[in-house]
Amino acid sequence: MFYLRTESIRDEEIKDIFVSTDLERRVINSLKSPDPIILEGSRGTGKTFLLRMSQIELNDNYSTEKVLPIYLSLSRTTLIQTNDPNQFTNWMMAKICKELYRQLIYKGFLVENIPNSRLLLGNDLNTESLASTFNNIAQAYENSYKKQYKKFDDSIITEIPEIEDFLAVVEHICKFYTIQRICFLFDEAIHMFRPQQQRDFFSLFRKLRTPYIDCNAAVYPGVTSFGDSFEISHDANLISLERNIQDDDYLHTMQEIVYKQASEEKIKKIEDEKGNFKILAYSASGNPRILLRTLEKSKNLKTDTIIKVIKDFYIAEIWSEHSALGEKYIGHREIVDWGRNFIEEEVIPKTKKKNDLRANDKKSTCYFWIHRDVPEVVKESLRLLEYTGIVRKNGERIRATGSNIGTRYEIKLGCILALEKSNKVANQIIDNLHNYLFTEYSRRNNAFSELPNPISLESDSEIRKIIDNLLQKSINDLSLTNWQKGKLIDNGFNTIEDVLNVSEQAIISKITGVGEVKARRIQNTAIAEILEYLSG
Amino acid sequence: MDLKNYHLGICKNLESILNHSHTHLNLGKYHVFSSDLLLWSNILKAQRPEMKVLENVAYELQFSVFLVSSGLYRQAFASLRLILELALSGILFSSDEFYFRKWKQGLADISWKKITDQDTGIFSTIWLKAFLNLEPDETDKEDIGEIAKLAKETYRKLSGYVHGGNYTWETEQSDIGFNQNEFELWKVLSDNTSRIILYSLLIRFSQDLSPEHLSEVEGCLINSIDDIKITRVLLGRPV
Repeated sequence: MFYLRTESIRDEEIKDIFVSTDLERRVINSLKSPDPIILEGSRGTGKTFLLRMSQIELNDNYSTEKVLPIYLSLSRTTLIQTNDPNQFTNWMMAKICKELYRQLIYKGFLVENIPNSRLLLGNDLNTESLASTFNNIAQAYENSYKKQYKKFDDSIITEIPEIEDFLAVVEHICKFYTIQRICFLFDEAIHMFRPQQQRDFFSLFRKLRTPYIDCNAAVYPGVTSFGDSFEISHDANLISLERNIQDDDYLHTMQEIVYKQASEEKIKKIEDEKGNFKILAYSASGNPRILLRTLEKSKNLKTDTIIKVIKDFYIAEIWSEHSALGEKYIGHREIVDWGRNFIEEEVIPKTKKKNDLRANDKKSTCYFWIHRDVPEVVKESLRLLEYTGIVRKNGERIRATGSNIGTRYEIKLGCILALEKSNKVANQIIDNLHNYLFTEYSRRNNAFSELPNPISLESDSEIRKIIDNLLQKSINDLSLTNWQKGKLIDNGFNTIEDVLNVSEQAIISKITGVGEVKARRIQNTAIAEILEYLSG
Repeated sequence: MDLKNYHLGICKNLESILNHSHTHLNLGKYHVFSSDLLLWSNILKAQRPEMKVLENVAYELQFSVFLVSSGLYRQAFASLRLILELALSGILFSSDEFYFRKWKQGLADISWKKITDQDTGIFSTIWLKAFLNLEPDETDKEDIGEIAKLAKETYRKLSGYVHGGNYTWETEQSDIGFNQNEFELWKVLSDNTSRIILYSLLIRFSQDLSPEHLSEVEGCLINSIDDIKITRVLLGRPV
C-alpha cells in the first residue's frame, strides 16, 4: 500500500519519504522565503506534500529562524452559500485568525484557559477562548449550504477584525514575541468553479503583504480569475510544480519517490522488471499520485500486466474522472465533453500516426500546439483538461508554422502509450520524445468548426444548484441500514434535506426506536454524503 | 545549610532549568492537549459521567509538562503513565458501569491488563465493531492494531520510570539538571499518549458526537490522528 494523499501521512513520515530533488528543494526554499509564492500543479503532483514539508522545516528551525508557519486548507469553500457579499473574505479571515491564535498557543506564547479548566495556577487567566469564537464564525459559513441557514445571521461578522487592524495586531505580536515573520501556507486555496472566491482570495492574498506576513498558496493550473487588483507576476512568484519527462534524472526521481514508500517485496519486483517500471513512470508524466495508483493496481510488473493496467487506467479511468466533472458541474458539461472528444478523437490519433510514421527516424511526440487566438471555449476546455491533469502546458509563446504563436501542450504520456501493444515500441516512444515535433491547431482548424456554447452563468449559481440537487437526493442513497431508511421514509423523511432541516430531537420523537445516538448518526451520514460528493 | 534552604536551593535550580527549557523547546503544544481533554470532558460528561475523569487527566498533564520543563524527568514520565492509564480506564469505564462504581468507591483498581484485554479491551476488534456500529475493513483493523502496539510500547517505557528500571538511572549525577535526551524522549512518549487517547476517544464516542461537537474537537484530531482512516471519514476529509 502506498500513500496516495499527503493528508494521511504523519509529519515524521513525511520527512522520511521526502525526495529532495532540485525541483522540490527549490520549491520549499521559495515557500520558506519572504517572497509570496503561488504554487501551481494539477491534482496529485505533490503540492500539499511540499507545503507540509515547508511547515515542518520552519517548525524544526523555529528557535533559530523565528519564522512561524501556518498551514491552512481552504477546501471547505464549496459549502459557503450565504447572501453576505463578503462571505469568502470573512470566512477566510475567521479561519486565519483561528489558526494564528491556535499556533500562538502551540508555541506557548499564550496559555488558554477554557471554561471549567483546572489549572495548577489559580484562576486568574483570561477565560475567553478566541479560538472558539473564530471557529463559530467559520462554522456558521460552512453550515450555510443547508437551507435552514440561508438566512445568514451577519451579526457574527462584527467579531472579525478589519484587515488593517489585523495587520497591526500581527505586527504587534511579532515584535512582542520576537517572531521574524508569519508564513501562511494556503492549501486548496481556490475552488476551480467559483470565480468570485478566486477573486476574493487573491485580493486578500495581496492585502496581507507586510514585512511580518508572507503568503503562499497552492492552486490548480488554469486559474484565471485573479481579480482586478492582483497581478500574478507583480504580486507573487508563480512556480509550476511540474516534473519534466525530458529531464535526464526524471526516471531516477520517480523511482526514488516510489522506493521511499515501497515494501522490499515491491522493490524487488520493480528491480526485476526495470523496463516495465520505466513505462509506468513515464506514463504518469510526472504525477507521483498517478504513478503510485497504477503501481498499486499492478500485482506484478510483467509486460502483460503493465499493458493491461496502462490501458485500464489511461483509456478508461482517467477519462471517467474527467467526464465526472461535467456530470457534477452541468453548466460545464458540454465544454468538458468537447475537450474529451478533441483529445481522444482528434489529438491522440494524430499523435499516434506521427509516432508510427517517425519511428524509423527515431522521433516521437506527445505534444500538440494551439494557436493563441483560438476561441475562448477551446481554451476553457483545455484549462479543465489541465485541472484533471490529462494535458499540461509545455511552453508558452511558441512559434509554429508560418511564425504563428501559440501554446504547446503535452498529453499525459500514458494516454499515448496505452495504444501500443508492445513494451518495445513504448520504450522507443519514451526514448525518442522531441517537443519540437507536435500537431498544430491553428485558429481555423476543422476541429474547431463545431464548438460548444460558452458558459453563460457564473459558476456560483451552479454550485448552489448542485447542492440543492444533493439535498433533494433520496434517503435511499445514504449508507444507513434498511431498517433506518424504511423508518425514515415511513415518517415523511424522504430526502437528505428533510433529515438535515430538523433537529435531532425531531427525528427521535417522530420515530420510535431511534435514539439520540442513531439520530446523530443519520444526520452525520447525510452531511458526509454532501462533503464527499463536492470534494470528490 | 538547613533543610529549608537546601530545598529552596533546589527550587532555584529548577527555575533556571525551566528558563532554559522554555528558550529551547516547544512546550505549548503539550499544554494545549490539556485544554483539548477538558473540551472532550465537557462534551461527554453530560451523557457519560465517567468521562469526568478526563478533567483529572488534563490536570495531571499540566503537571507532567511542568515537571519536564523543570528537569524532573522521572516524575514527568511517571505522571505521563498515570495520564495514559487513567484516560483509557475512563473509556473502559464508560462501557462497564459496575467496574466504574467499584473503582469510584475504592473497591477496584484500574488495570492495564483489563484495558488492553485482547477480547474485551478497548483495542479489541469486537470493541471496534461494537462502537463503530459497522464491520471494520482491513484499514480499520490495521489502524487499531497499530495503536494497540503503540500503547503497549509506550506503557512499557513509561513503566520503566515508575519501577526504576536500570536504564532510567542513566546519569551518574544525582543533582537535577537539563537533559536534552530525556526531554526528547518525553516529547515522543507524550505525542504517543495524545495519539492513543484521542484515537480511543474517537472510536468509543464517534457515534455520540453531533456535527457541532465534532467541529469543536476537529482541531486536536487533525493535529494528532489525521493520518488514521476513521478520523478522515468522520471529518468528511479525503480518504
